[in-house]
Amino acid sequence: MKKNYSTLTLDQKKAYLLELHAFDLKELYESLDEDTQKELFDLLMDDQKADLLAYLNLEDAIEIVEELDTNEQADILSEMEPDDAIDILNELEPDELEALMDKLEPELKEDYYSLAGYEDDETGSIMTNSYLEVSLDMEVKSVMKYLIEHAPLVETINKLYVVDRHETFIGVLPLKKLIKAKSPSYVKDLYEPSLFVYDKDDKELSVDYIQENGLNYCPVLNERNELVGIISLDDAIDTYEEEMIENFQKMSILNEENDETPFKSAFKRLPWLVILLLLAMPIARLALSFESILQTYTIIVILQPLILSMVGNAGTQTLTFSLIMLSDDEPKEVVRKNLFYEVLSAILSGFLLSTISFIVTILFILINPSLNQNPFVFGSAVGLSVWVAITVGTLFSSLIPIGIKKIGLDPSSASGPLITTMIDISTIVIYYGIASLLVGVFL
Amino acid sequence: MRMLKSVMSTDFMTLEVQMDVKEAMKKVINQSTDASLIDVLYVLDSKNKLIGVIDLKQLIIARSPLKISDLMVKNYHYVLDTDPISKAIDTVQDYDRDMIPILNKHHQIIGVLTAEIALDLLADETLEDFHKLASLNEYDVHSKPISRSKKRLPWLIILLGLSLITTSVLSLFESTIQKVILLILFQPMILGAAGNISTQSLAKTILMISDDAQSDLRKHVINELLIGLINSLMIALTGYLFSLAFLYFFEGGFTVINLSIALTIALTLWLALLVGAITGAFIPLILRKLKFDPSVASGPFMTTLNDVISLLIYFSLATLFIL
Repeated sequence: MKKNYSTLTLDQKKAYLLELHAFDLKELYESLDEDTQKELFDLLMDDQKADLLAYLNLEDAIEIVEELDTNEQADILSEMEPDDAIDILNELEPDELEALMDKLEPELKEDYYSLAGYEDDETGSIMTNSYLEVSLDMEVKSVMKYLIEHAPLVETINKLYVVDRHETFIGVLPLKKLIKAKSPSYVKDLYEPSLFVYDKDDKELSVDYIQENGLNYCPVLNERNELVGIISLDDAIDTYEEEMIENFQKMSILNEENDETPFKSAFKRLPWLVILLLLAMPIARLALSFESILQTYTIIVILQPLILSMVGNAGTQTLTFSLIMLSDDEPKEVVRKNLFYEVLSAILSGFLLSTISFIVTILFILINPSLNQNPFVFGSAVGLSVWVAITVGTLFSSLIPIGIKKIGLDPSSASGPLITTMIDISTIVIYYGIASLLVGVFL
Repeated sequence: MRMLKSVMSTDFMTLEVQMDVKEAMKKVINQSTDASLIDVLYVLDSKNKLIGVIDLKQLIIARSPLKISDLMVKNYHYVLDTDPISKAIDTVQDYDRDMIPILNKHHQIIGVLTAEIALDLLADETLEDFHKLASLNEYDVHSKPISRSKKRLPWLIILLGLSLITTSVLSLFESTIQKVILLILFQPMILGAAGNISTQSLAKTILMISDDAQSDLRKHVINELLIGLINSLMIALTGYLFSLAFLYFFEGGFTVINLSIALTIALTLWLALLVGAITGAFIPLILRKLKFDPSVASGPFMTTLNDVISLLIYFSLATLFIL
């Protein structure tokens, strides 16, 4: 696409750009060098510029907007969906914003003041107010007239939003019902109740709610139950994806934006690495107290990775389970039942794994005669430790996230590393302890 | 693997190209049912081929005697029934469509994917990736302990097998371990650190692949290597200071052997973390080339590889420096 594009004449380019969907326009724009980007931008109509800005990531969009003079800024922003325009307005310098505000269309200005008041994590920040409102006592003919007149201006007419005399949200009138209605009939006989979210709710919760209930163009109400906006599914999908990525990053101790310089990324990843390195120190201290037995029976050390990795993995499985459960806000009884089930399952799996590792260890010692150790004593040490350590590890992995949530912290960011370390420590204590005991008794 | 056919909706409505707006409106009003999806209407030619789409909104605004052929958009976005579900989700998302048509190889519409379905599928898919990374095959709060064990055991047993490789490597260094048992104290620290740096670059790589399969891999790999280089050096330095302090307090001051152990640890951390960062960035890419699902196979595979390499570096350096 890029190669073809640059070989076109200006007129051809202009014609080509007109055919592009905003997403493809963005892809094309990002593939070009800076000079060609400028040239492309100048070729666009105001509404195309608005589309491009809405699709670009915010930082790039701001960069472009800041280059423009105030009149052009106002023209382009007025073409944008209010929620997208406000994202950009929010990032401008105060004096720039002030100059621009005077030139904006009054509607956008009004939207700005009503939408800009929301925090980034509030539902209000992802809604749009581009929809049509009808009142209960309207007759379908006049609704239709109103609809035809205003439809070009709004994002959707799939649903009309029904409010009463006090602006209180009552329900929705699906377009399908409206076009099938025979005159004379009134909105109050046609509307349907609708699920909704509140503007001050956490946007992640709202998006989850929208997903679970399959709500396209979900109404957003304020605390007085007045309709203040709607959330379209495409915005919900974007937010949902962001949230998923965020959770995934937390689990893998990663917290960075895309497109950062390597130095910045390195700097952001470093703290966790250091913390985890330091958390491993207690393990060293602990192992130190078993120094003499480890020196005599090196086999204990050699078998250690077997136990640590298995217990660690079983713990990660339970941890993931618990974190999903907690982020789904399952009721208390369910959480309690699952705690019990997880531990019971660990005892079962632990028993089987312990038998397998008992046999594996014996075989391992037998086929490595240079180790010259008693296979049964160390086989039992490994087997027993696996069983006990998996049970204890599972208990940690299911209890700690619950505990972290109780004290008001976010379980997904803190649990992973903390639990891994706790499991390592407990596993080593259990393993070395059991091994010392068996060695003391039998050898 | 689910197919688009199994998730699509067939409650779409079609119009014929020669209709005028009145006829079209009449058809929509008379033939749509509660289940019908009428926000976007699909325009067919006489051979039932999809030749355009039209938003109900446009149809309502339009006045007779306009024809459907004047109003429809010919340049619409669609997917084929053989395309992967993820492509369909991306198309809905990238082009902000309420629904997109699914076509067969004759360019006939056989169904639609709505934004509601897309969001549901996205939720399923991301959760699935999540589980895979933790080698968790299910998430069901009501499943009984036995069925939980049954589902998770296979992975744990594979991992047990893999950890035998690590154990075998360790047994090669038995005599080194016996002579300098202090080395063992820091083994979990080194393995842990290498694992963590690897997890970070693994996560970054998987996010990148799943976000955009065609992204610039070379730049990504170079970035990860740079990050790995910086952080492995920092961690090596930190590890050196702390292990030195540890040995000073618990093992009788700055003896020659303590100094060389700390040095071994620092060098190992540097090399092992660098390798960890590299494996984290490369393994998902390689697995993808080999047509394995990177989120499933990366975790256990990477852990074993990192452990083996780290231990090899650690005890080889120790044999070199201390004995």
